[in-house]
Order: sequence, then C-alpha cells, then structure tokens
Amino acid sequence: MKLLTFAIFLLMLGVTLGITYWAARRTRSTSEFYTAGGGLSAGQNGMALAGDWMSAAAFLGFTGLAALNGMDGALYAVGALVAFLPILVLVAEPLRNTGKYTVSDVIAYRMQSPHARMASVAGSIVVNLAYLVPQMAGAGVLIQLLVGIPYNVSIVLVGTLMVVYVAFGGMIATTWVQIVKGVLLLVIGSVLVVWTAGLFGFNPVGLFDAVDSQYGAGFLAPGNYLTNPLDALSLGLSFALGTAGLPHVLIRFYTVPNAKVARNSIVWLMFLAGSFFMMTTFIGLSAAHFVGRAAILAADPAGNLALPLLAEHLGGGAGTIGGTVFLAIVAAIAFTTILAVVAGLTVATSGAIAHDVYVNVVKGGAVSEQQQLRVARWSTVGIGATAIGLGLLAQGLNVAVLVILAISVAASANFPVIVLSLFWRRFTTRGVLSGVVVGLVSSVGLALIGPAVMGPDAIFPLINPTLVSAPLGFAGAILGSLLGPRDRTGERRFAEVQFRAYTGEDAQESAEAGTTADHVIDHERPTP
Amino acid sequence: MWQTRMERPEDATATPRSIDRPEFRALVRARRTSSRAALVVGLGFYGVVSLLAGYAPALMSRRVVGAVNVGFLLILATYVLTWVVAVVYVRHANRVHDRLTEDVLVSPAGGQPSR
Repeated sequence: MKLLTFAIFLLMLGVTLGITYWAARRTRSTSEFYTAGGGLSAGQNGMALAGDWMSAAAFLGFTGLAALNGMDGALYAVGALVAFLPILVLVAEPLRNTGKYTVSDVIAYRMQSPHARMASVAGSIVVNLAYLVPQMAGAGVLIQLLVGIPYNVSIVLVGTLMVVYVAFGGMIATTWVQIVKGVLLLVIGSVLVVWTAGLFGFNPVGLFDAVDSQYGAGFLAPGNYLTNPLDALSLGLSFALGTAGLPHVLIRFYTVPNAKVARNSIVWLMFLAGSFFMMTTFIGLSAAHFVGRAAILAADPAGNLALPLLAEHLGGGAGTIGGTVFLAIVAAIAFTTILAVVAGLTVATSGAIAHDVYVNVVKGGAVSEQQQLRVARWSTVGIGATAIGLGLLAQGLNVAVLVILAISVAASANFPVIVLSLFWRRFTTRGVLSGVVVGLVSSVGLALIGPAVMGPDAIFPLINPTLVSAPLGFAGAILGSLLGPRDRTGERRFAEVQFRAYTGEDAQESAEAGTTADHVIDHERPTP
Repeated sequence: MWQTRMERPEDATATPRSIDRPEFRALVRARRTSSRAALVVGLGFYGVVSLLAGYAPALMSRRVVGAVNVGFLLILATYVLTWVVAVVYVRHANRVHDRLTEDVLVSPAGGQPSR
C-alpha cells in the first residue's frame, strides 16, 4: 500500500517538475523571475493567491483544530478570510504602484534610504524563515508518516525541490504550481464536504447534531483552544494585520499589470480561499464524528491528521484500497501545497537578498539585468540550504509556535512600517528602524514566554502576542519618527509618494528627479 | 521641461502641481472614506465576534437550529459580510476611484497629460 502512495506522490512531483520545465523556458529576465512578467489576469492571480494562502496550515491545521476543538477551529478559518480586507483597501494597490519586485522597494521608495530598506529586509527575512521552517518540518513529518521516507531525507528532498522550482522557474513556476495546487485543494475539499453532506441527507445541521450528541455541548462552544478570553481577539488581530505584512503574499501583487487587476484578483481570492476555509470547519467536524477525536489525537496530538484520516475513512477505512488511494491523494496534495508555499517564500526571500540587499544596497543599482538574474537564481540555493538546515534542526520542535510567530512578526514589525510609509507624512527612516526593532523584539520575546513555548507556566498569557506586540510595533515606529530629527525633504516628498501610490503615475512637476539607487521610478511595466 | 527641473518648493508661481489640484484631493478623500468604511464594517464585525467568543461563551453556545449555536451562525455571517464588503468596495473602486484617477491624470491645467 505504501507503494501506491509513493506512486501518487511521484505523479504529483512529476506534474510540478513539468510546470517548472515549462516555466524555465519562459524565464529570461528579472521581471519574469520575480513577477512572472507582470501580466497575470485577475482570475489567474486570484487563484494563485488562493493557492498560496490555502497552506498546509489551513488544509491540515484548521481542520484539525475544528475536529478537536469545535468553534475555535472555525474562528481561525474565518480569520484567514477577513485578513484580506486590510490588504484590499489599504495595501495592495499602493504596493503595486510604488514597488518593483519586493516589499522593501515600497519602503525604500518612500524613505529614499538604504538603511530603511535594510530594516525592512530584516523584517521580511525573519518572517519568511519563520514561515518556511514549519512548512519544511510539516513536509518532513507528512512524508515520513505516509510514504515512509525518513524525516531527514524528506527535508533534503523538499529543500532541493524548492530550489529547483525557483532557480529555474522563478515566479512563473511558483504561480502555476500554486494555481494547480489551489484547484486540487478546492476539488478535494468539495469532495469531502459533499460526501459528508450526503451522509447527512444534505442537511448541515445534522452534522452539528451528531458531534453535539457524541461529545456534548461543550465541544461546539468557544474557548476549547483559545482559553484566554483575549486569545480570540489576538488571533483575529494577528490575521488582520499580519497577512498584510507577509512578503510572499504581497509580492503576488506585482504579477498583475495594474492596481485595478490587483484589487479584482483579491476578490477572486476571497471567494476561492474563503469557500475553502468554510469547508475546513465542516471537514473538521466530520472528522470528529466519523474518525473520532481519540483516533485523531492518537495519530497526531496537534490534530494535523484529521483530514487525511477522514479521507481514508470515507474511502473505505484503513487497509482498504479505496481508503489508501484517497489517503494517498490527500497526502500528495498536502505535499504539493507545502511545495507551492515554500516556492513562494523562496521567491520572496530571493527578492530580499538579491534585489534588495545585493542590487540596491550593496551595488547601488549598478548591476546588469543578466547579472541580477544570475544573483537571484543563486540566492535560491543559499535559501534552500538554510531551509534544509533549519528544517533538520526543527525536528521535534513545536512548529506551531513558528507559524504563530511568523504572522505575529509580520503584524508587529512589517505591517506598521508598510502602512506608515504609505499613509503618514511624518514617518522617518529612524521610525522604520525603531518600528522594525520594537516589533521584532516584542513579538519574538512575548512568543517565547507565552503558552506555546512555556505551557501552563507561561509568563505571558496569550498564545498570540500580536495584541500587545503590534501596538508596540506601531508605537516604536511612531515614536522613532517623532523623537528623532524631522525629515523635511521626506515630508515634502510624501505628497508625491501619495500621488504615485494612488494613481500609479508620477506627479507632474516632480522636483526630485532622484539619483539614488533607491529611487525606484524605473518601473518596468508592460505597455498598456 | 527645463522649467520643472529648476522648480524649488518655494517657487509658488510655477504651474499648479498635480498633487495640489482639487481632483487629486478628491481622489484621496474618496479612497480614505471607502477604506475606512470597509474596515470599520468588516473588521469591526469580526472583532465583535472574537470578543464575544472570549467574553460571552454562554451566549455564543446558545443553540439556535438544532446544535448549531449563535457562535457558528455569527461566523457564517462573518463570511458573508466579508464577501459583501469586498464586492461592494471593489465595485465602488472600479467605478468611482478609477474615474477620479482619470480626472487627475488627464490634466487640462498646466502641462501635458502624464500618459
């Protein structure tokens, strides 16, 4: 039976490598490497965004949480959807209009300072790595469990694959792997939901009644996981602010030709991914009913195997051909999900290292296109090696902490800086630096002394530090600007930044022609 | 034009900068209003639901339809509301914001259009 699973895995792998080969032949410029050429349609980018955002954490994590803890799992899921409202109305269009390849481009455009760019890069890299490691570890565990390949080998395999995808296929490969995987996730989710619904006579209430009578009313109540009354709010804040600070999500908005397509692609995403998140709640409850919480806990105490076990059960149960095939398909999709996300993270991190640090800060922009592309490709090798190293170290660690940490850092160190750069006249480079530092230190520090790391003896009571660390990040950025010297030139420049952010064009009579390399005005855009 | 290259901020006799024109201020106002509205409604509702989950678990557990309780219905409402807010905002943006942006960019006063 393991052989069958292995075969399906190989099939999935083959598809992704095929996509990469096709993409590699079309990746000849930095624009193609970082932004897939910038010509994606709203539907394509929306589906890719959905594929990016419907991560293994959603697929396995949300379903597991719902299966074990009822309503708290549903709160997690809906939070992931609401998270895109701030992106839609605040960040996506200005980002698309003012940056070129990375999030730090936007900060650098506003501040005209390599220090500001570096601070933003630091925040981006911490977030990307914190997001990347649990993906690697998750893949390692999944493959070991379902195909039998040892954890260490799986980590090396995933790390190598992500380097291959991105070094050769760049953002084009990443986009299409995300799209394919997104479609597969929606299909498998729909199958599980419809199958479950069918078993209850297409009456959703029946499912709720079933788990209620099986586990008691306490199961469907809130607070089974988010035990502190402020936990739910902190979680919500994490999603709402942190998503808009995740580089691998934000760079997707560079793949479309203009701001209007960007905003339309978000609507696509919200319906596609939102539907999926709603499905995770039903799937989780279904798993709780059919597989049983005890079995789910036995397979993995964090509940991550709820969905695969449900698939196996519906297919006929453990040991049956139907069960094994269904399980193998689910596992292969989960694996592809992880690959798609790590590919996106690699493109984002490559942008930070090659485009931000090497091309802009170190070389001041004086690098040929081909050299830029070469550095970008080679940086993925370094990122892959780092990812493998960290993934090996992470074995046995509670990787759920890292996922929380990633979004928390994004909410506390990245989001305040992005928003203040785009909307606050008085923001200075000093504010960027202090904002990133305070945001980073507070989110990391509070996570380390919180329940996720210290358990019941935690000093800090919330699983998610964002409720405290995000305001601290804002405070750090604001105070850093107010307490330092005023940047009169920057304040005069703000109106032009605002003009560019809202219209996508440069203001007329723009007095500051700008000679620094950070002045990202040479915006490569496809001709309308 | 060479005149614009030499312009200094104190040089108020130059042609009106596009950033000062009323069309642009109108665009900024419109965008600020609609984003504020979308966030207050969308995030506000979700925030209330999160607070209720933490501070009013008894209310959230109250059964409404079979074992489906207030909490799950509120979560469903959050999905629907979020979708509605997104669609309304985007339709507004596609109609109003883009028209205002056009007004800004095709500038009759002081200089050639920017595109």
